[in-house]
Amino acid sequence: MPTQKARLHPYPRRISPYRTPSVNRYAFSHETPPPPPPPPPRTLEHPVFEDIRTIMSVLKASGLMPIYEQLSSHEVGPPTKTNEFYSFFVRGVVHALTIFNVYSLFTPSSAQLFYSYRETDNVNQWIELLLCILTYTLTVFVCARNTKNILRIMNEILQLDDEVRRQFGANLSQNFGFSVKYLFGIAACQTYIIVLKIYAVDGVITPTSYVLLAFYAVQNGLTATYIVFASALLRIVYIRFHFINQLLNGYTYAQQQRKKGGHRRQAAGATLMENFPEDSLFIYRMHNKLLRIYKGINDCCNLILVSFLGYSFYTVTTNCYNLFVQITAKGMVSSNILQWCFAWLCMHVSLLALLSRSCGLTTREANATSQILARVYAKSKEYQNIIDKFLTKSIKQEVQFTAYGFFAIDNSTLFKIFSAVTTYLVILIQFKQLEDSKVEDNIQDQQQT
Amino acid sequence: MSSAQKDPRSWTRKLHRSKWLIGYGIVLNVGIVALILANDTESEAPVRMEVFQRNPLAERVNSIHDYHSLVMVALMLLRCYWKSGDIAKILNELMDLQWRHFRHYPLEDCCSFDDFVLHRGLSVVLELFSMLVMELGMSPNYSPQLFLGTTGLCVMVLVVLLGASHFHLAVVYIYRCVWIVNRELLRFANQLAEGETVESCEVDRLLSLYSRLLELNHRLAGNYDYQMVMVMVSFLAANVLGIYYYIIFSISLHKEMNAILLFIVPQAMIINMYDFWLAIAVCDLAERTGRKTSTILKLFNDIENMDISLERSISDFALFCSHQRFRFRHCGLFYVNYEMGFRMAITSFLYLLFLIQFDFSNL
Repeated sequence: MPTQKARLHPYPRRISPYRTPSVNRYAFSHETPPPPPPPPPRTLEHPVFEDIRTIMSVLKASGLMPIYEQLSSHEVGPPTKTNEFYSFFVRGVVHALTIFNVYSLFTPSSAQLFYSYRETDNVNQWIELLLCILTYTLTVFVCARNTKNILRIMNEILQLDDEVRRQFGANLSQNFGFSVKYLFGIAACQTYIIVLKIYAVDGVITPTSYVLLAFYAVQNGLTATYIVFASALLRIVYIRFHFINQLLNGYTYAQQQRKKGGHRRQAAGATLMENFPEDSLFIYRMHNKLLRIYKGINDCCNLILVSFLGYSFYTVTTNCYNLFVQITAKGMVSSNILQWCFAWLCMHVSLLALLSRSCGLTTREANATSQILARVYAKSKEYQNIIDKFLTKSIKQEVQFTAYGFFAIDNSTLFKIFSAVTTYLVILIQFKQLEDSKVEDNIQDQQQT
Repeated sequence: MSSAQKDPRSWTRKLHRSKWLIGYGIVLNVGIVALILANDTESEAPVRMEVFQRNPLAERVNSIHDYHSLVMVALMLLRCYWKSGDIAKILNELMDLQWRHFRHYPLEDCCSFDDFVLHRGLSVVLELFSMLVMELGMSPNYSPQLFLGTTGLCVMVLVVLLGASHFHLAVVYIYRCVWIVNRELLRFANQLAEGETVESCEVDRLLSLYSRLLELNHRLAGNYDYQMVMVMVSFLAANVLGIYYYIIFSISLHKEMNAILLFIVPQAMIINMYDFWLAIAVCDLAERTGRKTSTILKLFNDIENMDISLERSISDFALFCSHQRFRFRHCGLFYVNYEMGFRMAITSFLYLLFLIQFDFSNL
């Protein structure tokens, strides 16, 4: 809600992490004629999604995102019939290709893609392919089902931005360069992997194998893109949480002590806190809305995250194992397989790192609000009631970004995944040793008889 | 279990124990167990014999699992008889709450409740069916002894399943009540946001209902804890062992795929997992709904000029929620929710790996 009276004191300056360096609170005094809104018109066209336009267009083209209509600067509408039909069509093609792929996986025509020196490795690659197909199919299904939810979340974010702009004149946007970089990285990795695979196969490659390989790369790439998109959405939420935390931070005891400098405590303290009651109501509402958005994003990509993490975990484990086998094998180190393993490891590890970092950042920021508010508490007695209202409801109420309730995703997930990889690696190596010793036993038995 | 009977004459229906029914139940159950032990033809099934000859470890593990199942059935029945007074009290109180307070609210849109009850019924029927298929499909020669043994086993499985279902149905009832409380709170928040007034005594009433539900929940979980732990362990062990036998049978004995491999064993495992997951899902559902109450209470944060007494009631409610929660902790060992379920699944996979590795030279 816009403030109804002029504010006599400058709003406490924040260290702004955004493009707009400082926020002018006088912009909202209704006594002076309101100046034109400061942000450049380009960002007004697409207030949030300008930043992640590239990744959105990739997802839209592949049918994972609805091709929404932009109704105004803070509202998006459902897609038109033609666009909806397009997405539907793309998804149909994807499912048809998936069925074709599964069919060719079970027929000998794909056998030339799986060559290896041992039986178990073939099974591993096979499972990896099946997991990839499963993950991507699940992604497509979940995305198709969640079309409305995604649009609702986007609308909520846009609405929230609009409110922030009217209240504080802050334009919340950040450089999402990482998403484009990741996009390029994923594309490069996938191309490299395919080229490696084509070189590794001896003999003429049949068209079926080409289709299989190309679709495999596309599936991997799009799943990875979706993960980057989810991280970008989380970053967007993070920025908003960070914004309200910074706002509150301006009211904390320590900050105000620093700002006042030589002034006498009583007078300055009272005036600095003057806007606190109305700001706090606004911040509480923002916080509730942000939590809702955060929950909505979690609900939308729950299943996708579970299956992606499972797939990723499997890929990382098998590739580490392959690396180990290659390195310890005497004399027959194949550079092709080494490069292949490294490419996979790079891609999955960086994606896992991105995902867990984004989740961790957002979760930490969401939980930080009550801590910051607790520091305002010491400030003065008259506002304690307002702060109590929030604090009583935040006791033991930590929010978490979970993978379907199975586990929380934050920075610790990365650690957990790698410790699990190590455990399974040891088990796999033990299996390999058992297998080898069994083969040796058999040879000895044959020699004796 | 069968010891509770309904008395239709009184106005608020009440459950109480009948000593005769308890005695009858004990005699009946002991009789059935004796029947099973006398007619145990299961160990003669050729498929099992083959597996056990190949793999002595499997036989050991299997006999441990059999003993565990026997202990589970005995403990389940004894504890149910022992605690039947308490359980009857809890159920009476739940019915009382339902009759006095929650009867007036519309219940049509609580889809999860209906879904769960349907799933639960389906799972019991499926489990029985899979038990029958398992027993009759794996033995080559049909004799009256086999039928007697199978009937006894099915009755025992039914006892265990129904015992677990009682707990789950009670939990799902409590869930529905909490869900109604949540909906009322949400309605209040919306009313306040639109500028209408809400009486603080309404919120206090909801809080008292909530605390009674919570207490019932704790008592219920306390009465059923040993049984539930046993049932869960048994289900997990059955799944691990099932997959293990399957691997021995298909890989180390080099059998070609037949009806037993393709249909009977997988269906039993899938139904087992479904049942296990259902048991976890209902506890998680109740826990999540309890957490949602706190989230809804946060909506009262940004309402201006709230009545002081109302504000105090809301704070009370929030503090209560943050210190007491809907959680299911069996025997103080573990909380039952999705996180635990996931960990259990991972652990059973690891045990499967260890079993296979332990016995690798036989493969």
